[in-house]
Amino acid sequence: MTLAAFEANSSTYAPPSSGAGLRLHDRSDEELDGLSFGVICLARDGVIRRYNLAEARFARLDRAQVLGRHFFQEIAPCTATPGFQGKVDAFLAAGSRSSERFEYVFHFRFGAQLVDVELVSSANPDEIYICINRRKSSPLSEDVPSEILAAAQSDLAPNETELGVLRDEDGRRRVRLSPIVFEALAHALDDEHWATVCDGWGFSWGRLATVDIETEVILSLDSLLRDLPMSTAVDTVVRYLRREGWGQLTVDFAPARQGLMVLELERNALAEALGAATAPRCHLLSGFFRAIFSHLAGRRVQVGEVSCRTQGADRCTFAVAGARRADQLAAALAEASGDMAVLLASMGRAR
Amino acid sequence: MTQVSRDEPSATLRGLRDDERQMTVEAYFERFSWQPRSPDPRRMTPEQFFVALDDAAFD
Repeated sequence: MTLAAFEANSSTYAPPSSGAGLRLHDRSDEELDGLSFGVICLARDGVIRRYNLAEARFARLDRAQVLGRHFFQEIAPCTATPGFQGKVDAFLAAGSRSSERFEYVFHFRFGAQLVDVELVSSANPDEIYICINRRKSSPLSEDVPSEILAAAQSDLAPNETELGVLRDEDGRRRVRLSPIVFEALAHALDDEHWATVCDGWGFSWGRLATVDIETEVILSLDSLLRDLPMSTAVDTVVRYLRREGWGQLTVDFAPARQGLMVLELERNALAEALGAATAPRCHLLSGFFRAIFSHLAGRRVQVGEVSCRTQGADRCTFAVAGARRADQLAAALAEASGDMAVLLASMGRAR
Repeated sequence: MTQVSRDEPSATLRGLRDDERQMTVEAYFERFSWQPRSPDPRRMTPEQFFVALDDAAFD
């Protein structure tokens, strides 16, 4: 993959390749977190310097507990072999400026993962980037010695619950956040700032959530989101929002004739926290959906909230259109003032 | 590929080879990746769906 392709697809899944062009060294942590394959930066001595979100998700480890530790000894003893560490050491010793690819099997306590590994040189000669593309997951074989299994989160930070640290079943840290936080934020921002801040915040959240959803699909279905039928791909988003407590999302494809996909979110946690309003207030979710569906589409899409529970509607309704129709969607939203029939008619006339 | 219609399966089946005639209409559609006249957005890949949305293919 060329650098240009990498930049163009930085929010979408693509297997690493042609490492010389990647220049991962120049990429920010935010950019690496937008990738759906694992990226680890190791110092020459094997200490982990960078560890992206996808790798943390696949390995069920908290990045905060991984950075600064020795990869081969503390995090992934299953890689302390001539077939992995030996290749890394040889790559660094040779001062290679190209890349090298090989296949490997990671052994975690929760199962095995068949992966493609690509070693990529860094601008810093004392470090190396390792790109890891999951191909298949399977149950752990009984004959794998326990001492070579990769670390579990509980190994890295034992007894952390006594310090008020909560984690989910995948080792991710959780914070129980009351929706009154959103109410408090709304009080702190005027309407203009609320819209701008929440839309941008929601978009960033959606980009990171796509990594979460994508990794789940790879592990559970051995597929990529982009290869699933639209109904199955959308179901992953529905499940994500339900699991996180945001409410029940339904997706209506019928308005495709008017160039739209319509999303309805029942019992929206955000809207219920915000109270009454005269205009739609769920910019956070509009931004989230924009990121999620842009990732799915492999192109930019536009999202606008048609009507909102804060306005007295029984649910929040969002319209999704291709970016080419963004202006039409904005005009139709303004004309409709919450009336879906008017919105559809307006979009239909603009075809 | 033989052009088939869900509306007239029997007429379509009359034009098939013997082995194809033994198949049900649904199996035939499955085997030959029959594409419906109006694309079903739920069965398209996300990229196909959003391209079609932009291109007004659902009209």
